[in-house]
Parts: sequence; C-alpha cells; structure tokens
Amino acid sequence: MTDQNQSSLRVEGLHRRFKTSIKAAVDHANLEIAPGEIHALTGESGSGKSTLLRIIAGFERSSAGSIVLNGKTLFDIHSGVSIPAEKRNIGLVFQDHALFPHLTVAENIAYGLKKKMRTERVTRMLDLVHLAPYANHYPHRISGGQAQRVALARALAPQPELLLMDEPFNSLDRRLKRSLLPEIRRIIKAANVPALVVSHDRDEVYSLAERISIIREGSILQSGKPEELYERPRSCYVAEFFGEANFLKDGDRTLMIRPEYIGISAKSEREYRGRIIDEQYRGDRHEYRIEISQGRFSGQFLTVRDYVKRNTMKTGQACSMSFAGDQLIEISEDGG
Amino acid sequence: MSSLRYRIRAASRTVFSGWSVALALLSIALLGPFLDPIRALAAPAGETWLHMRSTVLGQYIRDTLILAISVPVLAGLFGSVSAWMVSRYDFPGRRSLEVLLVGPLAVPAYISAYAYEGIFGYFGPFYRLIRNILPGLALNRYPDISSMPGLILVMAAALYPYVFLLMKQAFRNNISNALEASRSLGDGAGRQFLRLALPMTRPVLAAGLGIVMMEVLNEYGAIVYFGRNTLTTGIFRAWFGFYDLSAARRLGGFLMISVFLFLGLEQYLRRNRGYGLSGKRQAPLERIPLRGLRGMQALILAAVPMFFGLVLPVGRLGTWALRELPDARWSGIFEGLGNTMLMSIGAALLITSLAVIIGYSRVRRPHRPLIALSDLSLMGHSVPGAVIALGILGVSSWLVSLTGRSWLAAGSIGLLMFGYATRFIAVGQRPVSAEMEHRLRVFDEAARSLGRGSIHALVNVHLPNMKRVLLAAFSLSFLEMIRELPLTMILRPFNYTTLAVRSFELASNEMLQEASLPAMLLVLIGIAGVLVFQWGEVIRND
Repeated sequence: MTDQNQSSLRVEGLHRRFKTSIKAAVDHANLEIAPGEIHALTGESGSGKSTLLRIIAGFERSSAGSIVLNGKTLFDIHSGVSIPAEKRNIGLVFQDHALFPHLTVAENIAYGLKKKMRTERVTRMLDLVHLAPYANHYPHRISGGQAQRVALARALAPQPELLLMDEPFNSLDRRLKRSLLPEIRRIIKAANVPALVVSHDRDEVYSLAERISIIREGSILQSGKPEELYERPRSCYVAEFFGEANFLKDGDRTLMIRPEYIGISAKSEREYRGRIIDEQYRGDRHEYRIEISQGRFSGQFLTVRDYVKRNTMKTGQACSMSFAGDQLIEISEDGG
Repeated sequence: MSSLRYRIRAASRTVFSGWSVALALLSIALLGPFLDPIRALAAPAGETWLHMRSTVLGQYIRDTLILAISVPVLAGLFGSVSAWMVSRYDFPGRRSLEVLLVGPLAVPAYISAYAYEGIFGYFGPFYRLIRNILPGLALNRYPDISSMPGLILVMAAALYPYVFLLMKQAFRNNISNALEASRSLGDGAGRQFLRLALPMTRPVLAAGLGIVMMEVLNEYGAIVYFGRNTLTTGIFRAWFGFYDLSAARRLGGFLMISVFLFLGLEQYLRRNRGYGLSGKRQAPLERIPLRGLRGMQALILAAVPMFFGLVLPVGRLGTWALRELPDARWSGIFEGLGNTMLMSIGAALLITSLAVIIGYSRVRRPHRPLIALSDLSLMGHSVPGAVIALGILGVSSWLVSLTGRSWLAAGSIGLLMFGYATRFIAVGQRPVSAEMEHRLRVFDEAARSLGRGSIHALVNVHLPNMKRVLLAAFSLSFLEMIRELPLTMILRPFNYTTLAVRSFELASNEMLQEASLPAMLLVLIGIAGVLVFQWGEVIRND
C-alpha cells in the first residue's frame, strides 16, 4: 500500500442511506487527506458531512466502499473488513465536547491512556493546550473555550493516527471562536496528526483548513486548497457556497466572476458599460447592482463591490466596468 | 457476492454481540410470564370454568368495567384539578401541599379501604356523629361506604397521584407560552383551564388515566374487602377457592385481552401527540399569587384529594396503631417487616441492575426487531400482578417438566423475585433508559473513540454519571414492591408473610386494629421512600 504515498487517509465510495429516507445521506463519497494536513469538510446542514465523519469514526456503517488509514484497511466492503470504532485509533472531538462530567480535566485527558504512560502524557497535553493550572477542575468549572481545548487534548492524548472534529465550535460565540481558532490550529499542527474538521461555517473553514472538500447531498463536489475553491469553483453551487458570485451567460457557456474582481468607474472608459439600478452602503464597502447595457453580456446583471468608497454613484447613473485579468472563469451550471 | 458476505458478517456481529444476546434473553424471560395466560384461552374449558361462566362471570365483567371506567374519571378529576391549582397559582401552604399531594402513593388502596370502613362503618366515629346530629335516621338510609361508590372513592383517592405528577409536569413546563398568550387575551382562570390547559395536555392526561386504569385492573385487596368481584379477584377465587389453575389462567387470559384493549384505547386517546405540546421545554409557568380568602379557597380545593387519600386513612390507622401499641404482638410484625425489606431491597437491586443492562443494550443500537421485543417485554407494569403470578406458575411448571428439577416449582423466593422483576422492570428501566438514550450516547462514542470497550465505558463513565437516576430507579421500584399484594399472595412460599400480606390478612379477618400496625409501618416506609425519591428530584433540579 506504500504506493499511495501522499495520502494518510483514503476514503473511497462510502455510501449510506437511512431507512427513513429515499436519498442517500452519503453517496459514494471519496476523500483523501495528506499526512499532517488539516482538511475541512463543509456543506449545508443535512448535506451528509457529519454522517461521513461518523462512518470514518466507525459509528455508522457504510454499504459500500473502503477506508484506509496509513496503509491499514479500517473498512472494506469487498474483503468484509470492519474494524470497530474503539480499535481504529482515531481521535474525535464532539460538537458539545462530551467531556465526562464526573472526571477532572486531567482525568478526562487520561481516560484513553494506558497506565504506564499516563502521567507523562497528561502533563505534556496540559502544557500543549496551556491548561496545566486547570488540571484538577471539573468540566462545569471551566469556560467554553477551555472545554474546547480539553476535548482536543483528550482526543490527541492517545496519539491517534487521525483526528476528527464534528462541528467543534458550534457552542462557542463568534468572538471567542476568532481568538480560539489559531490556537486550535497550532495545537493540531504541534501534534502533527492529520485532521478532518466538519464545519458549515466559512470563517472556521478558512482559518483552519489547508484543504477543503465541499459535500452536497452526500457527494463530494470538489476538493482543493481554499483559494482553489474560492477562485476556481467547478460549479455554481460551490461558487455561491464560498461567497458572492456573478454568473454571466455567453451562448451555452456559463461564466463566473467574483464581485471584488470587477473595477467600476463613473466614466465610460472601461470595457463594459452599464447602468446602476441599485446601490447600498454595507459598512466596509459600497455595493452596486448593475445592468449591463452593451457588448456580449448586454441585458444581464452584476453585483459589484467598491471597497474604496471614494466616489459613490447613484441609482440610475451610467457607469463602465472592467474584469480583472483571469478572474472570469467558465463554470458548470449543475451541482456536479 | 462479497458485499453480501460483508453484510452477513456485520449483521452477525451486531446480533451476537454480548449486549444484544443479553437483551434478547432478558426480553424473552420477562415476556414469558404474561404471555403464558393467553395460551390458556386456547385450551379446552374445564368444569370450574363452565360453572363460573354460567354463574358469576357476567358480574365479574360488569364490576371490572364499572371500576375501570369510573375510577380513572374520578382520579383524573382529582389529579388534574389539584395539579392545575399548584402549578397555576401560588397560595399559602402551596409548597408543602405539593409534596403532600403525592403522599397517597404510600397508602395502598387495600389499606385505605379498611381504614375507611373503620371511619364510615356502623361502629365508626362518623356513624356516631351522624346519630348524634340526626337521631331519627334509619339505619338503611345511612350511606354504606362498602358499596360501589365508596370503592370508587377509595381507589380514586389512592391512585390520583399518578395523574397529578404527570399533569403537574405538563402544566408547569409544556404549555406556559400558550397560557400566557391566553391570559394576555383576557381569558379568566376557568377558561384557561377548560379551553386551553386540559385540551393541550390531553395526551398526558390519557397517559395518566391509562396508568390508573391498569392499577384498577391490578387491584385485589380493596375490591375483595368491599365485597366486589372483578376478573382479578375471580382469579383468586378460582385458584384458592377451587384450586383450578386452568380456570384461573383462563380468567388471566381474558384479563390480558382487556389490558390490550385498554392499552389500545389509551394509544387512541394519545394520538396527535404532537398537537399543542411541543417537545421543547418552555420556561416554567409564572404562578399567579392568591392571598387572603381566595388563597384559602385555593388551598382547600387543591387539598381535597389529599384529604381523602392521605389524611383520612392515615389518621384512622394512626389512632388505631397508637391504641394497639401496648399489647402488640411484635414477633409477627418484625417477621413481616424483615421479609418486606429484604425482599423489596433485593428485588429493587435486581431490577436496577437489569434496567442498566437493558438500557445499555438498547443504546448500543441492536436491530429493530430486538428493540420491539424489548419494548414488549417492558409491558409488565400494565399487566395485573395476578396474571403475572399465574404466568410464572405456568412457566415454572413447564421448566420443571422440562428439566425435572422440582426446586423450580411454585413457592420459592426466586419465583417471587422473578415475578416482581417482570411486573416492575419498567418502573426502573424507564428513567434509566431515558437518561442513557438522551445523554449517554455521545459519552459512549467519546469513550469508544478513545479506544475503550463497552464495559469500561459503562463502569467508568456511565454509571458514575447516573447516580441520581439509579437512585430513582431503585426507590421507585422499591416503593412499588413493598405494597405489592396480589402477586405476593399467589407466589409467596408457604407461611411467608410480608407487611402487606399480614395487614391484609388481619383486616380480612376483621381484626382491623391489629392490622393497623403493619399497615402503618408500611405507610411509613412508603413515605420514607417517597422522600428519598423527592430528594433525588431535588438533586435533579439543582
């Protein structure tokens, strides 16, 4: 199996349909994570991302496909292998942390450890997450951000080969999350373990992940670096998931450009001419809705963002626009 | 092909995992006793049966129906009105009354029945009072307590707490938003209760009435004492009167069928469960303060059921017991006390452990048919104790004939324990499973993801977190067992008495004053049990 050099986790063709539903929750999903990589799995709620994570963890069954972790087969429908969850050596951080309430912070971290290495490992983990002073506190006595780090330390303590995180920041408020995310990233990187983080939140995904996979109706639509998914989305769905997008028709082709890549001017000097049909002040920017009045996109609409906000224009005013070099890309219209 | 092989392997892994096997075996063992009497319906009818059918069966069925309908109605009225008063209003004495209203759970109907006879009978204080006020009242105009209406009152006053507890919970936590809306629209108290609170909590009320109905079908002592006959007392007559097990089992089979009918009726009344009651817990209802005269009126209205179910019977028993104390024969009482405590503690421990095994096996998601089987096996609480006792006798005689071991036969402590477990397992399992299914699944997964097996997780994570639930399971089932009468009467070993059996036997021989001591002890233990349980509730609400 060493020829699968670059990937630490390789998931192929996983499939799961719940009895109560017609559609599959996970539909022949493929996924690859490189050694030491933080990989985010994102999608709308109900897209199947948590189910996929639970199949990898071993809590849900798949009716097809295989899971290979560091060359070891955890699950394979063809050979009938299915390692139970407790033998997979995969660490898991739960949505509400699931810290054991009757155990202290240190005891929680020690729960998955063999006696021999317990003290040494717990001390190391407490240092790593900067919680040594709280070792003897019970979970209800620590803050949400601390609980988050304890959950992470507990999952990392037995030195898992893979870390899974299921919407780990859901219970935290925005400001806390912002300060915590770089810290979480540092801890995972220090542990040097590949991680798969399930999240529906774009900010979380961008601040944590080195690679992202987006899932819809159980299928992975696209995987890649954050900038790939944002700037080179393959479909309209992916484009809109990661931010505002303008879609333009050119014959049978569909083209996409992000609003911030469109330059706008009140003079008629630029390539595309149009008329402002709506304008809105949005705090950090001015946003214009424009109808193109000339050229191959005539009659179509655009959203343009002006972050400079120097010469604001009024509704009804004529204007001209230019598209940044290679940012007008061709895209497929359907989900695939 | 290989996919099929995988499926078979995966299926066999779940089916034959230790927990699934345990769940299947336990379910079958718990199912046997109350399915057994249904089999008896298929057997040819014997002579006793034909005799009973031509003479008394009609009357049995009539009395059963009258009681099974009118007792829940009156208990429902008692329970929901007082639940409404203590959850909607605040008045002087409200807190203490809330605890006292649960009190009748410690006073079984068969004990209440002879206390009532002592008060309202021809030699009781009430009769003397009436004679002093109305010396001319003819004896036959005087209302007889040991009549059908008297029996209905006694049983309803003993059983309303089941309705009260459920309705209080529903009024307090599930409909407060709607009630506040109705109040802001100008609805008065009566309208809020009749037009809103009752219709919205109908499924809960139906559940409460269902419990009361099952308790009526289970009741033996009070009914016999008041000289009435139901299918349940008929079982005793067939078994102890004619020694005809097959006729008794046949009656048990009929009783089982009526249980199924009533359960169906309850399910029908509980349909549209979602209607009005969102599962979400709402902010607790803000109580309306009532002071002065209105506060007194509210207190009196809410206290009526407690007066009938607790004050009257306990007052009568207490005065008898005080009078009896000097020349009580303690050896018999202590024997009964010892047996009651040992038996009930033992059985409550057994039930709590079984509840943990069943609850945990269910959390580990076995296949659906197994869950259904387990659901069915937890029905024992709806089955009259007499039917379960007959079923146990049936199962044990089958085991004896199968193995040739006579110690499996009737009259052993083991069978009695088995009977208690069958009947009361649901009492313990319900709180345990509720806790496990809602909170512990994620802990279980956390433990497994840290490489720990199921037993390690159960012992080191789940049980330490379930102390108060285990306490509730233990004390609730303990409370049921100390007062259990019909099942104990049939299954107990020869000469083995419990406090319940002893007080019932003395009372049946019209030795009411002598009966009051064991009865009073029983009530006191019951009250202690209620307090332990309430204490658990207090921890929960912390």
